[in-house]
Amino acid sequence: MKLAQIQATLESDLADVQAEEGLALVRARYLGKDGLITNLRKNVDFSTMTIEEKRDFGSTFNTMRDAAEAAVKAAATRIAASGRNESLKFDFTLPASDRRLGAIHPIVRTQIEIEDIFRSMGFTVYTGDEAVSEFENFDALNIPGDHPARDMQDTYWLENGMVLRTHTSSMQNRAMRQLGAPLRAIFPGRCFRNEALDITHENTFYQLEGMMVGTDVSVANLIAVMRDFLSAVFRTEIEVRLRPGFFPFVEPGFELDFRTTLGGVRRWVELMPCGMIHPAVLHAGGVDPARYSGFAFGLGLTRLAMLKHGVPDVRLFNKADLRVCQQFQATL
Amino acid sequence: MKISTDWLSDHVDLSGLDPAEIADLLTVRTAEVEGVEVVTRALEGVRVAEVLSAEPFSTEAGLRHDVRVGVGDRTYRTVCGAPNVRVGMRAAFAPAGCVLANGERLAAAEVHGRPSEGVLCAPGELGLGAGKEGLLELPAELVPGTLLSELLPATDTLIEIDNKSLTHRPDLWGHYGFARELSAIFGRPLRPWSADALPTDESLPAWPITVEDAVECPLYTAVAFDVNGDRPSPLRMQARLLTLGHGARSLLVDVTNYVQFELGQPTHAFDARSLSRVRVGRAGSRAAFTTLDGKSWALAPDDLLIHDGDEPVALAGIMGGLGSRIQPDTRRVVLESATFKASRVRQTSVRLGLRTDSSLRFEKKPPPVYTRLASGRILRLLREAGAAPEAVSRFTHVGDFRDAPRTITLAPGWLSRRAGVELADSTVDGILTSIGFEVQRTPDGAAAVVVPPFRSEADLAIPEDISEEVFRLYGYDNIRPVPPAGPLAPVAPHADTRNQHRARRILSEAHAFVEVQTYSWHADDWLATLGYTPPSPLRLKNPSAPTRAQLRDTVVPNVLAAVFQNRNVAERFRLYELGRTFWLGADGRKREANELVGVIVDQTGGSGEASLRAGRSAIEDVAAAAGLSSVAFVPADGTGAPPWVRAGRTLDVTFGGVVVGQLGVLPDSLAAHCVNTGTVVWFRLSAAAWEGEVFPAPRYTAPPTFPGSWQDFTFTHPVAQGWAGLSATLDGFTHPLVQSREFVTVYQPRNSATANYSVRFTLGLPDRTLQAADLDAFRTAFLAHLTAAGLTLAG
Repeated sequence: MKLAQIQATLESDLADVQAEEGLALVRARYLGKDGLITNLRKNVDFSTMTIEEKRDFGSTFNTMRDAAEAAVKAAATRIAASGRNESLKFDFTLPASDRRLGAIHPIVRTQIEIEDIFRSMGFTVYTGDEAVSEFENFDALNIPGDHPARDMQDTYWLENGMVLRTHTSSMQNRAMRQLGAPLRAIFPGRCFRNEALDITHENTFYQLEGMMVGTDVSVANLIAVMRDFLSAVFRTEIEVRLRPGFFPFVEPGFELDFRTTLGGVRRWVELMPCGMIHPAVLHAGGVDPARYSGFAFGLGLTRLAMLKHGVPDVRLFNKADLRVCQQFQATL
Repeated sequence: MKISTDWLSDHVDLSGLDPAEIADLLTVRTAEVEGVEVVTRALEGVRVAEVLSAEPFSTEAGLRHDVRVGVGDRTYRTVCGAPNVRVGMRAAFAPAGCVLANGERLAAAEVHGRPSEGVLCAPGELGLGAGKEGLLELPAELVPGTLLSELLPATDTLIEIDNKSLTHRPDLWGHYGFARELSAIFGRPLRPWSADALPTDESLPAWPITVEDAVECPLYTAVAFDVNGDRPSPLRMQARLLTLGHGARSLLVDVTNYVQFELGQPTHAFDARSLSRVRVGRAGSRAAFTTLDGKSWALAPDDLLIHDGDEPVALAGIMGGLGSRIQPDTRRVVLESATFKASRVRQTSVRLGLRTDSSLRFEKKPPPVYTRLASGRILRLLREAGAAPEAVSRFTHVGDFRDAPRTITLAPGWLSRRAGVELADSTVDGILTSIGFEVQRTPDGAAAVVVPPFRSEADLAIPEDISEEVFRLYGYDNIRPVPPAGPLAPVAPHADTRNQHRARRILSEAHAFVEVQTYSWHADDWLATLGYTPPSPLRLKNPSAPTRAQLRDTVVPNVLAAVFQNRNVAERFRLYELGRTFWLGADGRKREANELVGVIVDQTGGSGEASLRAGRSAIEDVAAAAGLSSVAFVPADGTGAPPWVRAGRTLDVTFGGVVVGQLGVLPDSLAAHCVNTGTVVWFRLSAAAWEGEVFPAPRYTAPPTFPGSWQDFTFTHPVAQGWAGLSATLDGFTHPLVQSREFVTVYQPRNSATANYSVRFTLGLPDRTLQAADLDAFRTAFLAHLTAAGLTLAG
């Protein structure tokens, strides 16, 4: 056989081989003691050849033999990898088992994320009571005694004269008294208002109050902190604006809007009330308004969770419905 | 509240301004604009007409009039169904060819067999409000034939303001206040308030006023005058009232409404025949009152009324009475312009469900000087309308107009520091002057700011209040953000929240629980089903429902209710809530604590053993993550405990020997209420219990250097004594080779009171490899311990 012919039959034999036993036979046929390739050299009459011819033959033969060895080795690797001889006794294409990640409540997820952002900005997290005195919820916040918010149709009153806090602002007084000034803190938590339920109104909801108190804390600071915070929440540079808004515990008070392209239209969306802390509130918290100023903001955590997760009905959050809650897989 | 740009233009020149720009700037400088709406009036070709004759005739549809109208150069015939058509009146006539507000083009036709060459128009047909019932009545001074398009603008742009953004700005509850804001925003002059001087002539008698409680009624003014008021209001006044959705009735009524919407001060005109002396006082024992709309209201003793002597004539600040209302033949009027205590007006109007334009404004505490401005304006408008008011009393008041100058002093540079941007004195002074404030500067730059009396005292009392006026009109958008400076220091982690979040992650990420939330109160009917009575509940005075008055003192019932709700969602599920509980302590004071309650529900059969052990691993992991090692589960005796805690199926969970919660299999009687079939394993943990280290640091232990070994033993042991008993016995065995001992498995043959428990000892020595002799010694010692303890190895 000619060299090329031998090479071709070797390749075709190797391709046909599917098991190690077969491969051993092929190897013996070509590279064994009496193999086709081995014999090529045995059958040559070197005496008739010039030195150059001998050298050419040796080189050609070696190349061919090495290539054949490599091809056999490759076939061995292929056969080992084919795994035919390691097949399993069960269906290894079955789906994942049913034990999966659980879920963390969407409002809590949002809370954890926002706590992380504010902590990275030097704010401490602080929590407190949900049933509080009328003083903490109203008086300490400069809310007058005849303010409509104190009416029974807005506030849950307890038989002992306390209230279920209507906002996390009720934490301001305690935080100032316990943490003192200067101060950067957020207070996430559950709040209550006695109102009729519909898709945007709940009597039980979450807010996240924040305050910063220091020397010469300014409106410009407030805008910067809110802008940076929201940019972190929405993971894009956010434009914010302030509008006049009235809340007894701040002066001036603002409504903060952010600009979004939600739904393809660029528009301002009202997000949260905020403002410069009213001197009466600082005073009630034991902070000297002549020395310190500050800002406060009240983020609707529930509303933000609705925005972030596309939840259309606020009442879903308190329903304890597995079909709703288990959608928010614990991937924090 | 809607405001009309046509009306605003009486007070400030808005020409050339885009309504959208007005709306945007009002939103960011003054108050939130909710919408802008252009109303178009169908005035083209419509003329002032005089009704020359009106012959009534009957049709199947009711009474009609065959009317002849004159429009100056010619007359028309038309059939009119309006109840108020009458000979001599002026009305608006739209001849054939005109297009009405609803888009209908009029054509000459026969109606009920009579020729009709056009229509006499109701306001709604002209695009003035929605009224379609009666004809628009025009003042007699208007010359027939005049085109309405020469008397009224064809369009008006209405700006809707969010009322909530005006709660602190009583000066903005009328057009004039907004005109002032726009004058400041656009730098255009505000026209002076146009009003007649109020009669102060000593020759006129004072009108008798008695105010019984100056807190309830800080200021009451009255002026009485004779007037020829039974006439249609000027067209422009009617058009504006109608366009804003209010009715137009007769001049005397319209003019008080008009000034209310122009200034923000409600007033009331009484027929003087029913009010000879004013007494402002509480309702006391009087039970009922009938308002001018004919409705009767049950009074509360504290409701404030205006009386004529003893007879009530008005519900103060809310609505006038039926008996004293303006009638067509009213010729003498008592004009009330007053201020009432805001919270009283609110409480009465809310209680009665009688919210009026007047009560809304009084709730915002209009400035007392408005009383004067309103009365003077009403006299001016009556005079201009040809009603010739003639005072028969002095303008009389009881109370204080509170118009003394109020000065607020600002320290030099304070505004700039508070804004975080440099504000030049001239800029500040210019802004304040533009809204009617006066500013005097001292040489060091301090500013003495005089607040005008028309701005609320509550809203403008301290320097911060002035800062709002300056900043908003300077433009918050002109304040560049500046990140706060401050010391860079570590922030203390809040252990409560960190530990709670960590527990959530362990349950939800490692143990497949789903977190849920429920309300903070119990549902009494569900408590009855469970047979639970909170021992010392904190109760709501005004719950959402009578059965939701008790705040939850444990989260268990609500979580069991969640199990019930989800029983058909999945056969097996795990959920938990981490939430607040409330109760009254022994001292009667309120207590609060966070509680974690979880459940493992299995409706596929089985004893609950697997669920119980899964619950135990979850609790052990929560404790381990907080660095708490001494966790134990001790059978609970259940005495005096809630119905879900029962001996034989509940374990007390202890951390460091202190009971911090329970883990148990829900009694079958309760499970029957919660699931279709199967078991509910529940646990309850006090959240305070795992408040360990935020970042616990486990200590390193070197792995054994020399190879060890292990040995398994299987014991036959009474199930009644349990693993807890067996484990305690094995704890009594100590040996230097033992490095650890673990539970491997248990097998309980059917109907057997004993089970086979397998345990594994891991054995080794720190300094050398174990030899056969070591193992023999261990085994001998262990078997001796077993014999002493009475334990038997399984055959």
